[in-house]
Amino acid sequence: MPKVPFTVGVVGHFGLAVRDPKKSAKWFERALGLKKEFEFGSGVAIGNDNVTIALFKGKPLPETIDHMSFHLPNMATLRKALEHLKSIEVDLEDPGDEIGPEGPGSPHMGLWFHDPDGYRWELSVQNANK
Amino acid sequence: MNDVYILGGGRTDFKRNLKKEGKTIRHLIIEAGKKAIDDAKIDPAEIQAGAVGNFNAGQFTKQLQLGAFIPEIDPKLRGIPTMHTEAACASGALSVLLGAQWITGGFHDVVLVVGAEQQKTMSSLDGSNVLGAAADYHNEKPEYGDFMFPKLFGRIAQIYIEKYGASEADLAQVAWKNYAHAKLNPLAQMRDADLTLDCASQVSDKNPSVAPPLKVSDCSQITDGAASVILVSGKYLDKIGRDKNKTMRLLGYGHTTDYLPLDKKDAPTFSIARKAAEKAFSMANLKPQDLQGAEVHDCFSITEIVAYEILGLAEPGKGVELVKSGATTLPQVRNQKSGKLPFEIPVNAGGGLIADGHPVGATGVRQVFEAYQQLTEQAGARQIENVKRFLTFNMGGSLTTSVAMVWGRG
Repeated sequence: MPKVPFTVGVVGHFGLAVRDPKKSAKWFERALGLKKEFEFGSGVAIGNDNVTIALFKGKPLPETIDHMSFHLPNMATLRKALEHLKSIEVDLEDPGDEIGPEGPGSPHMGLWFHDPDGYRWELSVQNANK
Repeated sequence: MNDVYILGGGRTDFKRNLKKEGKTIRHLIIEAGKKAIDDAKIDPAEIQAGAVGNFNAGQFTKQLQLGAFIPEIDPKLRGIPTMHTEAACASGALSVLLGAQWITGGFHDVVLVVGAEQQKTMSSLDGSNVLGAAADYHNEKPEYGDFMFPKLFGRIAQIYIEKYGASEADLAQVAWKNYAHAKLNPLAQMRDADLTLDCASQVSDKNPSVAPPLKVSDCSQITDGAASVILVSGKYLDKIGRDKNKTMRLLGYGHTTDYLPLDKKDAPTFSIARKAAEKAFSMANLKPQDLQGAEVHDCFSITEIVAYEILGLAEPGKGVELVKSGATTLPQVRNQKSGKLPFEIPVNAGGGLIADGHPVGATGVRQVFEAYQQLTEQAGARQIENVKRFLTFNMGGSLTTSVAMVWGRG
């Protein structure tokens, strides 16, 4: 196998098919604080310094990505995020038991929720006990 | 007709989220199946057939042909006949009934039954749409919209309240009781949740309205889980030298099917569901007052109230009185000052669908496994004292498919 002569960097942007890009953009702003960056032919790009999501009009297929995780710095922030998401009635997994390990025995803690198109999102803290 | 006995069983922890573990419904079926075989202490080669109760793995997980996971429980099961049963939330009871009828009919002597559902694979909205297949989807969806099932049972609650004058606080008694019972069940989904009667009785930020008069606390859970039992004939018990008097036996059953849409049923009487209970009691030659415990389908709080009346535990319109009397609450949970009641029948001692959890296709099997644990005195902190006769009532849709089974020991 030939050696790959480059290393991919941080996520620039990714596209997501949603039913109503403007409505989704508002949800991402309320839920995750992502701001509108620009509009394009069939959608809206939202983001912050770390990521841009291009929301374009199309048929949502949540199972294609299974889920997408964004890191948070520590557990205190994760707990604040949980309270915020609850306060705006986001569709959280495992009500009452939302924060848990990313997998059995994992040191990484997360919480999982769905956007209005059914895509599954995670907020997580790596090595939460450190 | 051959007698049917339960030799063992098992279940998974209903608090789990399989997706977070990187597992699927395949793992649930295998795990639960192994537990039943271990508990029954039999060689898997003795098992002659398998039944899998499941509602909608096709839509929840895109996986069907679930009987094909039975051979993965143990290589000795490769080659046996298997079937998948489906009747919405009654899918699990149907798998038990199928296994029982194989034995009563003389086709097999040892049957493995597994009920399983993996629901936490999608958003709540999409999941509720999948559950909508249990109703008359194409005709009732336009009328009820999203989250169809809470709305269908909200409608049943409205009809009940109009007829008998019950209140939201009355319904809260069921939710409070079942959450309190779940605290005694180490595998219940809501075992760590605290629900006060006050919180369950009124709409609040913590307990929002879902489909008036139903609030979040009135609803069952979205659950990943499986349960299993091993059914055997009396002939097999003789072969292995097991005392029949110490083994749980099926005494009677009834199984009925009503029209699919709610507005074609006689709510809140549900005379067709009532026939299932009457048949079960008639076959068992018992009355409701002969029971010491029951697992009753409580997909919503109103369902448990209506079920009391369908099953003859309460007269029509008196279901609320029954739950308020404390007769269906475990003495371990009930205010001890109330003392012994004239008629006591703890209902949903493990928390029921509301607080133990409701992995749809597993629920009917889980109820039978709970009956097995109670009748063999393995229920731990939630054990019902001196229980000899026990009822399970599992139903699918808006009281469309009903399965009542009466069990006993000794």
